[in-house]
Amino acid sequence: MTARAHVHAPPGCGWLVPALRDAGLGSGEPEDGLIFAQRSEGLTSFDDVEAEMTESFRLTRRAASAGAPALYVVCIADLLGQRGSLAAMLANGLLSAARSMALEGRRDGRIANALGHDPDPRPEEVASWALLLLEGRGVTGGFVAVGAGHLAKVVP
Amino acid sequence: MSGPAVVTGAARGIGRAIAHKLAADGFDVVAVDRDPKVEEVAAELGGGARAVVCDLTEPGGRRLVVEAAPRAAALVNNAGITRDALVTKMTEDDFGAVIRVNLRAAFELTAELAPTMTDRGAIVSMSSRAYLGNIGQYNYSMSKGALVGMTRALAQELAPRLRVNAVAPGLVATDMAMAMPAKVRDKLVGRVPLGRMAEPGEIAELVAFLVSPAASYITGQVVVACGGRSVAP
Repeated sequence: MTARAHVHAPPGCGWLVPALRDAGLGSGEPEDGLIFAQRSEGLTSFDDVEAEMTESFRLTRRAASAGAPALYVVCIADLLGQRGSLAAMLANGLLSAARSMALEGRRDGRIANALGHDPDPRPEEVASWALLLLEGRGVTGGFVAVGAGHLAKVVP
Repeated sequence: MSGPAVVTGAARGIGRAIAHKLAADGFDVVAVDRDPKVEEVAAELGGGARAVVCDLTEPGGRRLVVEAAPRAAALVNNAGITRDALVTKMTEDDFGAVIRVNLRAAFELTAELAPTMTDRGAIVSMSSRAYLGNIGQYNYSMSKGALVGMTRALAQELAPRLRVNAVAPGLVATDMAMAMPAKVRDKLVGRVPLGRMAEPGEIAELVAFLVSPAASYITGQVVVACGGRSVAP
């Protein structure tokens, strides 16, 4: 099991880091593993979206170069575009990135997954699934929805 | 039609085909591209068609489009580029260029044009089957996935006045596809159940349907037109 990973937890995702720590994840570098959470608060212009996308690229490139797993954590409401264009672009862009990373890593066993959660998640449940998806256990390019916001919708 | 149709990336390929189809359907097409060849396309269309040569990543370029298309009835965000590489070898410049052209320009133009569009107008953005993931296209895939997100959000924000949808084509017989080594192209085509690339005109037909009254109850959707590739092994 990957016990260490770098966690990118921007504004709106402050609950994720302590939950992951409580679930047993140690702090690490992207070369150990990457959990990239979608920024959901304080997005005021496309500049904010581009900055997050660029940071995801930088961190993903480091993780991929080291053969480390990557997990992208997004909000289901943003996948569905329910909270504005900026968050929707970021959430859906990260989901597509996860799928591309999974394809690129398939030959050498490097995994990438995505996890969706509701706007009011139970941190311990998200953290538990995050550790499983970071480990993979045969899952790559997968999307797991924690919560019920995806029911009867087009996501993933 | 009640207003002009703006088509970006109209100098060639899918955009040119869309411009031709919408003109045939009665739209006065505003054909937009940074390539001056778009003026030839506008001349081919005749009627009320006009060309705007500009860079949509620049505010001044987008302003030209908004001024050229008062009360537009349709906007087709088609302009896009590729800068392919495995993510481990991709440069930050190539990442940023694709995000700015494929996504920022479409988002900013839509934000600036939508308030001026006619009621019951329609917006279609060209995503790609690559939004489902593709090797060597971390940047492109992210940009096209983000366009799907933009579509879902704007469909809710702009309803009931405007409809907003996306099209995700697979392999299309454009100059870009035809420039691939034949061996590579044949391999990709071999994965398509329909056994061939799409013709640009086939994608244009889908776009024309989505902007037409025939699609009056469709909004917030992405239509994948890939010859079955997205369900095949």
